[in-house]
Amino acid sequence: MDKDNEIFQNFLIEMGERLQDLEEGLDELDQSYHPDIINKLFRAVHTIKGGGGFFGLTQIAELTHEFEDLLMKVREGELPFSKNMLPVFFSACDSLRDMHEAGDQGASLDISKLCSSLKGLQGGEELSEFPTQTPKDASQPTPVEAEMNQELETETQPIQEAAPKPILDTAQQDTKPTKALKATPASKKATKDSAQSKNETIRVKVDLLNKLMELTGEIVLGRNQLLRQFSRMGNKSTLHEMAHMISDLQQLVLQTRMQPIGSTFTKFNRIVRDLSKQLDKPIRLNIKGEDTELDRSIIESLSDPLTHLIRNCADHGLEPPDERLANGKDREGSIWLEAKHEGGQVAISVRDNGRGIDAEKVKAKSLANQVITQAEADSMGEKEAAKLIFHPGLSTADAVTSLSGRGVGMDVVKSTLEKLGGAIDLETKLNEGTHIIIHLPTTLTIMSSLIIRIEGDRFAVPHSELKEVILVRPEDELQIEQIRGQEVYRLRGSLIPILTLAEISGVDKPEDIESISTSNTENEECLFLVLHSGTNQFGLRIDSIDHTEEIVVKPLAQILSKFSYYAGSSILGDSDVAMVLSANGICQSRKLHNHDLESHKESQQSLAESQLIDIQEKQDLLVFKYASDEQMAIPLSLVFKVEQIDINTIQSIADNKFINLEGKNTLLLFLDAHLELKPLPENLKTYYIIVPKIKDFNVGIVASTIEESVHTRLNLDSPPISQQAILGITTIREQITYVIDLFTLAEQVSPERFKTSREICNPDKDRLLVVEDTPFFRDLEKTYFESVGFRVSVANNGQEAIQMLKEKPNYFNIVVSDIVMPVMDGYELVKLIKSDDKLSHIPVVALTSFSEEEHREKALAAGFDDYAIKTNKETILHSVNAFLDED
Amino acid sequence: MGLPIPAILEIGRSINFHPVRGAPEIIDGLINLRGKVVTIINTGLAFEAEKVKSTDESRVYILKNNTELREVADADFDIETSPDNIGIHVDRIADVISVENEDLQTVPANINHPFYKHVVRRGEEFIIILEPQKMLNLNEHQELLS
Repeated sequence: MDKDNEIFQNFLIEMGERLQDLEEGLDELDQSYHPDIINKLFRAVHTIKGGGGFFGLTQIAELTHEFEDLLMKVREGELPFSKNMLPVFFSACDSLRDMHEAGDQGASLDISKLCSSLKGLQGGEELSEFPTQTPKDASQPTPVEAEMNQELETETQPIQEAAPKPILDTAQQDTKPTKALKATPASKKATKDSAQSKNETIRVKVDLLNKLMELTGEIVLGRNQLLRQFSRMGNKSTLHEMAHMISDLQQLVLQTRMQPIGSTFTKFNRIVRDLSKQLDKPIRLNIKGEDTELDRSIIESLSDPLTHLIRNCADHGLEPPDERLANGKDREGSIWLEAKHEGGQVAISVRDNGRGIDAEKVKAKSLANQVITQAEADSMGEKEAAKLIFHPGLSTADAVTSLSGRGVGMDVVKSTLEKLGGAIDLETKLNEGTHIIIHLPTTLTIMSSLIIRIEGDRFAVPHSELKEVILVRPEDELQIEQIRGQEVYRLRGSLIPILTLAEISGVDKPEDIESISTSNTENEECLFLVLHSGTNQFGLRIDSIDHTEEIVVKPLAQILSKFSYYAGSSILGDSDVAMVLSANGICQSRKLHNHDLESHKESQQSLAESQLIDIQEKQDLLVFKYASDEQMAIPLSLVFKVEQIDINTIQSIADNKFINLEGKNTLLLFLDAHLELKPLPENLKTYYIIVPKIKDFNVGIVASTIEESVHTRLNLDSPPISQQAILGITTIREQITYVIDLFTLAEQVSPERFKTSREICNPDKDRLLVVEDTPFFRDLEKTYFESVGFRVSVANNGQEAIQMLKEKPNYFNIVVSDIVMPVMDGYELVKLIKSDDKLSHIPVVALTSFSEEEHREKALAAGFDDYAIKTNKETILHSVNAFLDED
Repeated sequence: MGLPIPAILEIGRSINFHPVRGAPEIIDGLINLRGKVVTIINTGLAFEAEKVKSTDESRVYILKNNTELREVADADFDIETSPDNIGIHVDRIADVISVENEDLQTVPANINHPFYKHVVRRGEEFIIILEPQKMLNLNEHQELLS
């Protein structure tokens, strides 16, 4: 046992506190009997017992065990309380106190007598003698007396009724080789001293700390106000010095309330052990990040929800050993409990490798309980469905234990955490386990915040909830777009909803300042914040950013508490009041769910309609004109950047024209040389250069004007005149538009580099299935593969693909599939393919527009054999060929 | 109308309301009372009259919260307010009167308003004594929150 261990020290502190409860309780009991007091005693003793057992302090555990049993009998009414018990109680309590203070936690104390007295009382025996009162056997001193005598000699404390006795008997010397056995007064005292210096703490009332905190908050506010008032004065060194000291003070006061979460975590060791025994399942608990610090009040409230989650893991998540073995898992189930700092917040994760949550069953149950409607159920993703377990309507025990077990009181867990300003999120995979992630603020009181303005009012947004600030200029290629009247923004590949305060509060902006902001994004700059709550993200339109300030969040008056999108109010440096926005609250009040936002909106539409629309993915197109009246478009995902250049900066070498773009000499590509187009008008002073995002294709496509970028469902018609570099024609804003096939264009421009040799294909293995929902990419991929000699079939989504595969299990040699698709996505498709004996031999390559590494890992984990980016033709062909050449 | 003075913390000018977006009309907004944020209720709307407007004469009565009230508990006066500091926006201060407990009469049954507690006769006039607790607990009066 490592006694320097922090957890152990924490236990000692806790035990001290419980002992005090015990002493107080006993004093009350001495006055008058009341069942509540017995309860209080019972709890205190029980806690000490738990800790004692955990740390292997057998003496403490044994004594408390007897004590607890006796109290239990009194509590249950099996044994009437009698005043006779009191002396035994007191001596047990004193004994515990002594053990607590002893350097070896009482390991050398003899408590057998005390235990037997306790036992005797349990039997209803009227104890005629109490160890403390009538010590008859002088050679066998009771532990209490032994300790007392020591104290008497070392500290000369007057102790009543304690006759001088020989200090500790020597009989135990051989059993315990610690210093306590030679307990001479001096050494005993030394141990005590060192134990005290190790945790030199004093107990301060939390109330006092809270007041201190509050006051510090006010001082911080005062400082902010002073700084502002004196901002125009010349020499402010004293003021600044003070301001710094106040910052330090604030930090320290904050720290007084911070505690490592370890004390809460470690008790789960015992809980899990108990559960493991009760449920007869071997369970291993892995704890990480015990020293992560959180505000005391948060830690306190965290214990119950975490206990609940862990219990759920053990009880429902993890399967019985036989089932685990049958599923090819370790016999022993594992639970991981981890805490770590993550961007100003603390993330706590509870994970198990059990059976996971069956989303379909949860869905079915939710339907049966009328928590969701059929339409909602149909449009609901797996992830969102699993999250239904947080819904109060699902929390009745039988509702969920009969399914997969989760959900008993999960809504309580969720609401507790949300009260703390936290968010809870869930990931689950059938037969692989469940992962619950909790995000919490480190402290609730002083927060560094961004002060913003919306329509004349100022608001504070805590930095912990703020991800980034984005300014969209009219000329930027990514604009805020509209889906069914709702604003969205494409942020690095994921669509996030953009909200306005008017939407959130349900109040239109005051009329007199209407001119300040308009929803017209085309001509104006548009500023928004990206806020997050757990893994939910959304944008909030704002007018301007004022500054950053440390604010003290004050809770709202009760009458305002139903406005959950406010976390509270605060007083700013200029003594004005500002409301503090809560990303969590906004998510709740607007019912935002991540990933499912679009489907959620569409669920409000008729089901048939939404299915129809969902079948096609929307496509971003950059629309431009070459000569005056011919409109062209390039998929935005293939555009690296767009630049405006002065015609005079163009340099010519032989027939080729170059431009220097950020130090790179870029070849200009005039489309009329490759397509049948009218030449560029001669009177242009500036060109627009579109630089495509294609490897080794370092050209700038010249355009006379850039029209716009549109977000549209692309209906491609084949070109009336066969032009190679044109993918098809479509109608954008009532104008016929050529959609350019950049890859063919690249081939035409530099054939030697882009013409992939047609011989690389194995003629026996040329049957390829493209699964892709977007018509544009479907055609593009088809062209790719056909151009190198594949026989290509296409499927619109996973469902179609799996049907085709099942009809002809030996026909296809390889499947190339998109990941994000309606009806059935790529992950599910690959799961089905790989789990089908007849199909599992077919390699499946994921083809997607995401280029981040995490997607790659996720794809490979899902069963894909390889992963390639749609816009990179070479790697696609390379990875496809790699599989076909393999065998 | 009257309010028991022990319930009042202080009286201030009705300026610098910070509006709360989305809050019902009866809430004028928040003010900064020396570092405390106080929510202000517009009494006019509570009595189905016109909204009280900020003028030279209008005032806000900041009421004590329950904790503050208990600290100065007056044995013969049993009142409660609310857990938070709340202010009420009034047209003007009319007078300060002292009323013997026995002069407090119950509100006649035909005058039915949740905020009225007692009636006191002063010469020709009747003065209605309000019940702060009811008045401040707006959540119980959903009709006022719309």
